[in-house]
Amino acid sequence: MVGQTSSGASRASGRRTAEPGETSDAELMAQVAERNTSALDTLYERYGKPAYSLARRITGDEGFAQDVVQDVFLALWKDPDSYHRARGGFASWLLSVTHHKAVDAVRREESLRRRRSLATQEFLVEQNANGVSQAVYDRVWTTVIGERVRGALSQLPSPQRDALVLAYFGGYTQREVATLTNTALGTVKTRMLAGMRRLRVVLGAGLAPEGGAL
Amino acid sequence: MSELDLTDARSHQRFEELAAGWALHGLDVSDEQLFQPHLDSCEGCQRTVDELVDTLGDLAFELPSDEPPATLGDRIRAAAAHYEAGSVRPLILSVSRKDRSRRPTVRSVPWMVTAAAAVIVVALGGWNVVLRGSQTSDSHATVQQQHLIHQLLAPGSQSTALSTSDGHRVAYVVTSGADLEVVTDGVAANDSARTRYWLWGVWGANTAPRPLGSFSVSGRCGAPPCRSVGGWQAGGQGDRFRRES
Repeated sequence: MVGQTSSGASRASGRRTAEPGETSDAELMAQVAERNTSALDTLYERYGKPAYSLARRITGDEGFAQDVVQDVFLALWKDPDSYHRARGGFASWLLSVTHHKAVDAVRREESLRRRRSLATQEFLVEQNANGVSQAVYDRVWTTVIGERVRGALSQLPSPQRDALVLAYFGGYTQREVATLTNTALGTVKTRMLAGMRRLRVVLGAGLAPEGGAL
Repeated sequence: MSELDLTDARSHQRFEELAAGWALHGLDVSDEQLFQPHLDSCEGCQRTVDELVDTLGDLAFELPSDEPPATLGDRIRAAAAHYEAGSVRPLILSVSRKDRSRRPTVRSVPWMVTAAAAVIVVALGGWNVVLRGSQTSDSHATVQQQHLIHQLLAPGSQSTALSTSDGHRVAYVVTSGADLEVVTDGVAANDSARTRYWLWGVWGANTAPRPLGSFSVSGRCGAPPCRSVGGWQAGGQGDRFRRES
């Protein structure tokens, strides 16, 4: 994506670096604050696709994903200062907002959550009881998450990876993750922090080419 | 968790663990209530949250890419327009229009004005917009009415009267050349510190309206000069809002 000026922009990741002459994200947000709808359009052109992709994977539903993305960009329009109050790069912030709204949508829709998280739960149950089931593994890690993310997460110890997958893609709270994995809450918290720090190192070093991670 | 002591390194480690849950949107309510005030005051945890959010952003960018439906962008634009228009009591206006120039590019469209965050919807393409206010309580109004009459009678001009459902006219829209003027004459005053009127343009039946410019209607005229619309003052230039492409 373009316009990212935070430290994350230079790291190896799926983001594009800003091109010379392009209006920065911060400048576009300032224009949004002046009720410039073209600026909102440009931000959507830059980040609508990754936001939709993330929302779709968390909600597991195209309609919900569209609602989430609409909520995200409408929130930008309603309260453009919310970005200035936040810290860090715009792209990460926007996707964080997208993630939060998607998780909220899943939590509101318990039936959707049960359906969506079934694969994740099956994966854990199968893994805990019998080791990794290849069928469930494929469904969760290939169909839902995708190969490049799978490549990054595969470099984490499995307990850390399970905790992060459940929290980030399943929308579970730390306490729920503890229950699902039959693990002490404090241990889950420690694993999540350690896993995210490890993930930061992995992503910072660049991901393995597709097809070579697992 | 209430036993956490910020001066204790182990306690702060536990706060950092909450930072991970915070970034993941995975804290229970009790932990969130504990962590939020700490985050507000702890630069170390703020850095941790920033780093973790950035990491999750990188992770999200690595996800398989799905193309959103083409209509989603239109939905967002329409939602933004609806938000601008919809926060208050609507004042629906009927339209009567005189066309002195037979300009083919002006189309008959629905008009509406809402109070407070008010909206005047116009369907005009290619004009600049000049917004002017009209009050009827003093000599200032006379100047504006003379201006309005002049504009209405000017060759090539077109005018549209905006009326409430009971037939009370509250504004006129006049186009002349590349300019469009909105002259209010009965639109309720707004508190400019809190709300503004917005002029919206519509460029097609299936196109979401887009804001052209905003203005305020003052409660009275006289000294200081009435600034009922944008930066307009008696005898001065009106604010111009160039239509976005």
